[in-house]
Amino acid sequence: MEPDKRRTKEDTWKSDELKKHLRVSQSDSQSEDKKHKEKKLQREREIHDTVDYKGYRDQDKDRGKTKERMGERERFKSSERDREKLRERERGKDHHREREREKVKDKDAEKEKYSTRREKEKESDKEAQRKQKRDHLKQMLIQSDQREGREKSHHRRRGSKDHLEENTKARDEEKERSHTEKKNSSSKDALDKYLTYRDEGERRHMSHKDQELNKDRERRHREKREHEHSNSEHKNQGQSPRQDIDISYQHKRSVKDTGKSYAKGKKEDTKQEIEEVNTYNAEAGYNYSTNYEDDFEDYEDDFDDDDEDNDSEDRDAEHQLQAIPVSKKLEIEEIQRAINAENERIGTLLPKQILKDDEREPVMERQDSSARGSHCGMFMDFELANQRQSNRNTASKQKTRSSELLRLIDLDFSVSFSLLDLPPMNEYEMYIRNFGKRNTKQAYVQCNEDNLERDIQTDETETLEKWTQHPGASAIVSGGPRSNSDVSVDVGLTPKIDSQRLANFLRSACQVIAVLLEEDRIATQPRWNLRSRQTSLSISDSCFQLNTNQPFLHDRKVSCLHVSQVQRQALLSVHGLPKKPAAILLDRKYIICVWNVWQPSSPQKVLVCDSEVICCCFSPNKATLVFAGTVDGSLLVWDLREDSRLHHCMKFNETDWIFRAPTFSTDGVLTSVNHTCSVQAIEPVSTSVYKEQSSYGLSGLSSQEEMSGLSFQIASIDETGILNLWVVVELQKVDIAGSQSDLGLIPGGKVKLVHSSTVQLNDSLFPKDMMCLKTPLTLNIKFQPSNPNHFIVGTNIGLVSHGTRHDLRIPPKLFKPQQGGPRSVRVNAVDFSPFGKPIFLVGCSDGSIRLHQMTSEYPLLQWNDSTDGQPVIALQWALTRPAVFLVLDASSNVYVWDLLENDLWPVAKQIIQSDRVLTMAVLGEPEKKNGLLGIVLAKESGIIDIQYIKKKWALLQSEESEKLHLLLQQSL
Amino acid sequence: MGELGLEAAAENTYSLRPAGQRKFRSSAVKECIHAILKEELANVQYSPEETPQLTKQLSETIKDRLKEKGFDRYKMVVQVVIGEQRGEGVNMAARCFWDADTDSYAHDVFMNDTLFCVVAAFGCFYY
Repeated sequence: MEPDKRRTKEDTWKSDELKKHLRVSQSDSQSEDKKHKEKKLQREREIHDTVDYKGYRDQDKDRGKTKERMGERERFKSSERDREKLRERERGKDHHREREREKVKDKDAEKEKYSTRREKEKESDKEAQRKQKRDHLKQMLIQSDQREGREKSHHRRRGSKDHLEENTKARDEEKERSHTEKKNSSSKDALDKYLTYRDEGERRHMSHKDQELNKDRERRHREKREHEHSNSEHKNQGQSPRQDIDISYQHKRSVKDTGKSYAKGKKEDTKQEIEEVNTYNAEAGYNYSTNYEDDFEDYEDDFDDDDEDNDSEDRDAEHQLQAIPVSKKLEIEEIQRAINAENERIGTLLPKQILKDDEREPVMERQDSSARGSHCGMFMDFELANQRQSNRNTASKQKTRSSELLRLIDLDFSVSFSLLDLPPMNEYEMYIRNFGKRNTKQAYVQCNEDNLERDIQTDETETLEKWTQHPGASAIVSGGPRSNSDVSVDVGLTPKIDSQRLANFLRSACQVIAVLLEEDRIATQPRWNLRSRQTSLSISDSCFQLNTNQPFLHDRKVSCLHVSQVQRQALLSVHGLPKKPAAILLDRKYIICVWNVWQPSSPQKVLVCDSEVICCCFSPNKATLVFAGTVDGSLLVWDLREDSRLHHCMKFNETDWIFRAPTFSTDGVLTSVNHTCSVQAIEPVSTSVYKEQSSYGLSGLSSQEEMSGLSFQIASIDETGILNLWVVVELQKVDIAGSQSDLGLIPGGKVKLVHSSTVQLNDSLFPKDMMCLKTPLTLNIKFQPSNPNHFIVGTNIGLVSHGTRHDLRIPPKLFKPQQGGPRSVRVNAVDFSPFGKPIFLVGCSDGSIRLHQMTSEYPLLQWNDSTDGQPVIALQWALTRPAVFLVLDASSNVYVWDLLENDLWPVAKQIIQSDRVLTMAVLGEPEKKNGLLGIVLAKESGIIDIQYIKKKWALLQSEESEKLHLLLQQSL
Repeated sequence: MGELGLEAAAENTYSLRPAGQRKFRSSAVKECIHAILKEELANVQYSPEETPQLTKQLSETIKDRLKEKGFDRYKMVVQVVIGEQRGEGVNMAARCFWDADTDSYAHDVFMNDTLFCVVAAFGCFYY
């Protein structure tokens, strides 16, 4: 039997199908009975359950109604009416139910229902007849119980086999067993039930065709006989089927009341009932069947074709079911249970639901039995009851199991597990995630655009290092690289060559070349023949002039002349300030010209200084240094070897002139030791012993010695009698930047003066008694050439004091004039004899000339009137002849004295009127026996004349020195 | 979403505790889940059409794999959640009413650029 998908109103038995079904059921009654029983149980249970679910109210109603039904047969019709109403309601609900329910619906069950309904309708007609038959049937019941049960079970099997899906067989069996046991209790009721069942069966029978019923009956009979002996269980089942039948009757009644959607098992129940009825009828006679059949309405038209197919299928299934073992029964029971469940669900809606619990079932059965009497044709839904029973069993089992287990197990809430905690992404992360992937570009815009921030980088200033010096006496007063890129070059430095040797070579070579050039120039320019000019002087043979017609020497007076003792041609001329100083700076400076007599055209070097030079001298060994004493008591040193670039260069008449500034000046630097008043004389003092042979030049000494400052010192004396001795120091390294310690040194200068000692001449030289009125002024100093330790100092009191460097008192202390005693006569000139004799000349301001010797206080010779009272300006021994000396007086007269010739009067007197001679110096070369003795006359006009004295006075005579010596001894 | 997987009804064994080895070990399960996730979701991008299918398939796979592990008498529940990662925040939590001695759970999270996948496997011992 296959489940029918559509459970509609039309899915009920058709009379033909029912008959067939019944016939089949008859054949295998036993099994059917069993199954039927089981199904009934299920159904009952289901109904009970559904009744339970739906509520007490309905159940009460049902109960009440069933009671009513049972109690009052007279109300059968009314109940029928109610049933009809319910049926209608059922039908309406069936539609919904059937669609909601599972596909497993038993058409047979519906057909059964329908048949039951039909039967019930005809109940009234047959009631009386049934009552009559009940007693007959009672006996029959007992016999046929088993069979019926089997048949029922078979029916059930047939009906519900295809429909069952979810039902445990064990449960079903249990349910059935319990159910049947309960049912077995009341036999009487069973009987009544049977009767009612039978009535119903008759009714059913009526509805089907006679043939079918007969067939079924016959089959059932056979089955009953077959199975009668076999199973003891079936006995119970046999009993139970009665009960089941009864119950099923009740069920069916209720079902009729409720609706069509009953399990198939119910259908089978009805079938079985019919069968029973049929059997009964078979035994009792078949008259009933025919009668009943006629009573049944023909509802064939209501059935669909599907039902017929199902019926046929059912019939086939019934055949098959004959051989089905017990397990199949369980299946069927399960199916029945499902059907019952469905039915219950529908049934609970209607108020006429009766059955609720198993406990109530016996009550219900009783009621049903009573009711049955009144309401014949009420079907018992055994299957549903069975199902419910089994369900209840399993549920109770589980309950007990769980309760026992729970005692052993602790169930509690676990801790909350956090499975995932994903925080939402913030804006920035989203932005960054998208930014990196897409083809994007970041740009920013600034509002408040007037408030922009900007990086400013100042331009790099171009810097240039420069230095300057004030006062800028030298040529270089400022310096520094011309541009940034240049390294600061020391402009003053000469290139790195062996400058020493080169300089020496150049120095010597240059002079030679210069001389040569000079001669060459003289030769080419004959009118500029200064050398061989005819002299106007009587005392001289020839003369020449130094070309002082220099633009810078204009209008300058020569104040001093000095001829170097070593380099006989070197001449110093000191030029004073011009009378009318021009705007140039040079006019405020005093000029010292260094002349080379052989080059009279121009001075060799031009030295400038700011202060008035009183006295000057060369360095004793080599005319490389020029020393000068100024009126403010400072000493100046010029290093003639200095590079001309150190000095100021001026252009005169397209020729560059270098005006050399002093290399060293003690002015304001060495004030503690410096002269406080004007320097009267400055003299080189050679430290080494002077030897006669080499009196003409300390050429033996090497230049290094000279340079190291060991060879000579410089003595300077001022008016107050302070004699300072200075050491000339030559620096090894030239510092173009200047020295920080030697502030008097010119930047780039090499030579400096270092103060050596100071001698107070006033204390040592003059006895106290002399200094009665005033301190005598010391006017000049001369050192004894043969013994530089001794010196003589001319004073303004006519005395010449004798001193020594080491402050030894050696008599005579004073060289007095013949008149003796201090006289207010200035000693203007003092000069030692250059030939080594310890005699010296003294020229005074009263015109007296004295010849002293070192050992005696009073002069050897004295001439008082030679100059006619004119003060002696200059007095100097002749360099070529030891007996000749020359005198210049203030009236510009030049006297030539030759002691060998005349020791009283000068042998010659030259009066120079036109251009007064301011000063005079003697030059000559004693080494050369050429007899050239010249005098340098510095004239007022600024001309420097060099006159060569006549030979008779210039040439050295034989044995002149002895003769002089004799002469001097005679004068003692 | 997930799927309920029930074992076939087992007979009574009258043992209240699972055997030591047969106990639901969360670490082993987690490893198993992790391996499956890594293998299945390695290069998967989230798509609304395919992902429902994927979750079902994933839960089936995991359930089958867990069954093979041999946790006898354990009823497994595997829940797979796959969501798209769009920057939203997600918080998943679970709480169970069970016997803490025998029952346990394991979970794992797999995330890639477009999706996140949470798998929770609960194992309850069937007494």
